Amino acid sequence: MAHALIIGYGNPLRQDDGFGWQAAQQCAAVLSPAQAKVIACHQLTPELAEIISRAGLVIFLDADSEQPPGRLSCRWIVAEPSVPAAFSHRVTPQSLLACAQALYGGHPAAVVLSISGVSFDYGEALSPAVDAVLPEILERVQALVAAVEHG
Amino acid sequence: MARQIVIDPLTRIEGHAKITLHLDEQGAVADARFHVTQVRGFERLCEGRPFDEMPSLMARICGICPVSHLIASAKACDMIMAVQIPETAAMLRRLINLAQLIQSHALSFFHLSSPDLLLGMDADPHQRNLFGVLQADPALARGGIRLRQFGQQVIESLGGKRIHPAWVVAGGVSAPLSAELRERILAGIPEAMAFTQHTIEWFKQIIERYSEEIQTFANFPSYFIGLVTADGQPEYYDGKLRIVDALGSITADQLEPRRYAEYFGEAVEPWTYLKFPYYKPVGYPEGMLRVGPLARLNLVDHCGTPQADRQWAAFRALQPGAVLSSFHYHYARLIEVLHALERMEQLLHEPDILDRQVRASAGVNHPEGIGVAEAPRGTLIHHYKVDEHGLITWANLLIATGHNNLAMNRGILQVARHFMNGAALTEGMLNRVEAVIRTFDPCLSCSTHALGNMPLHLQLVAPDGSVVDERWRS
Repeated sequence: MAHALIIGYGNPLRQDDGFGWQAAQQCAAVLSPAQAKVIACHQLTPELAEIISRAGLVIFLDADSEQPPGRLSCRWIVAEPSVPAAFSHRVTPQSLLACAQALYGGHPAAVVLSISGVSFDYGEALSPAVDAVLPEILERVQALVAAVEHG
Repeated sequence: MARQIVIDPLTRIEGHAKITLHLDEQGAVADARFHVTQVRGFERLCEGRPFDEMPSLMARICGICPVSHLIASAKACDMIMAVQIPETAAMLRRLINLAQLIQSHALSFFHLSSPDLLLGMDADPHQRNLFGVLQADPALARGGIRLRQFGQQVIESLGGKRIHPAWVVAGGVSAPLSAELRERILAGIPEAMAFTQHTIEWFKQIIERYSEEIQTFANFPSYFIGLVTADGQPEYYDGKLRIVDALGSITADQLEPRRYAEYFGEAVEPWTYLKFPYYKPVGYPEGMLRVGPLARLNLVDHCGTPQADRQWAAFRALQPGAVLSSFHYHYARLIEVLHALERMEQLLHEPDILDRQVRASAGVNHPEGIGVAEAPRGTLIHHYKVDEHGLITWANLLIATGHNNLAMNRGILQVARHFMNGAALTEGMLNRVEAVIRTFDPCLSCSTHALGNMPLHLQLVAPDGSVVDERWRS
């Protein structure tokens, strides 16, 4: 079992929304399968709950539009089982933890590394401001994975 | 004063829509309109592109049923190339199409509709969602997740990735099936089948609670259309079109899908981007259609697999003639999952399934291509025209959700008339208006080729156009 699980999500065809996807691919290139399992996906779905329940740490990589463009945020999150009805097949990181807890008996510590995007228009390339943050994300992920490896 | 109610946007369906309920002078619901407010224009987007790019491009229409678009598009490309693809390639396309049906139906039933069914239509919307289900019945939630995961894993294993796989190509598929993968898929079928059978039995027990919804959820006569084999079994990949009426009588049979324009007309209304296909010989709106699981089970003479045939017989015994209530789309979806699992097992035991000849190649040999297949939500048609260089000059897509548009509108009207109590919006009515739409499992991203979120907006509108009441749900 991998100690860490990295889940990058977003739409790689909508510029900065593809940040999580691209960051996940870069993580997969530098981390060994023994260190971390890496998943890149369009959106979070309940099917991820099982693998989350078996991880030692889960790192979510995402893009948002909540802060000044290009700003990186790092938030440790906890399970939040109560969610409003919406697209119930598209879930939040917090509700995925709740899902893992309820269905599979537990969940690991979890952190969301998120970058505020500049542009979410059609296109596969990240904006320069967001692209520039990728190395820092990679460093942070490696540090988190190393911390899990060393207990 | 007559008034209008608007529900915009709907929750737990794929895409974006708004509903308006129009009241008459007496305050009764006179009309209901299901507005699809987005347009994406995929048909125009593909003009000028090489035809063999179309399967990959068209798969981008939808993240839920990309395989259906791949299949219909690849079949249209086969026709442009004028090739008959290797039989093994056709079997492998059938296999991934069935996996798609399983994962899509599991998403619809377990993730989107089971909150209504398990917790009740009047349950608090904050509880009436997937997380409410996993609190109330973890085994059902876990099984539903596992079932969808099975379908997704088959798609991912065959196609390389679970969303937008590029394995289905013009002329066949890009790689053969390995023996190891065949065994892996086969190993997953018994668990999926046992859970599906268990869920069907559970569903049969709980539907007694929903007699009022069964009576009022788009429960009316219509035509039903879908693909069948020569001997009347369901056919998801190929076959001919069959049309039955509300009595279950065959109106037309073994129609050539490539002549779809003779059977389907498309009406346009000024208040929605989603067109209204209808059965052309009868006219609009009398030729109202339904497609998808309910239609397919109403069309066929039998399923052709033992477990599904047993369940199909019980399903058809619900009423004489065709089963008319759209509430039973849920029931039909489960039976189709069972059938799909049985068919997958049969296909995987075919002696030639591991054959390595899986792709035919050719250039442009025909100026036009039409591909028709059954998507999870119903009959899907891709039609392209190309120039001598193989560049797309024109495209037309008839999407499953579109076929059901007229019936969805009528269904909302039926529900609103029955559950509307006074002139204000109530949670009970709102919940059921949403729920009747969900029975069809509409994919508005597909049907408008649009992109976006799907919250709920409902407006109640007076005859003078003023909005009297309004609700939003995120």
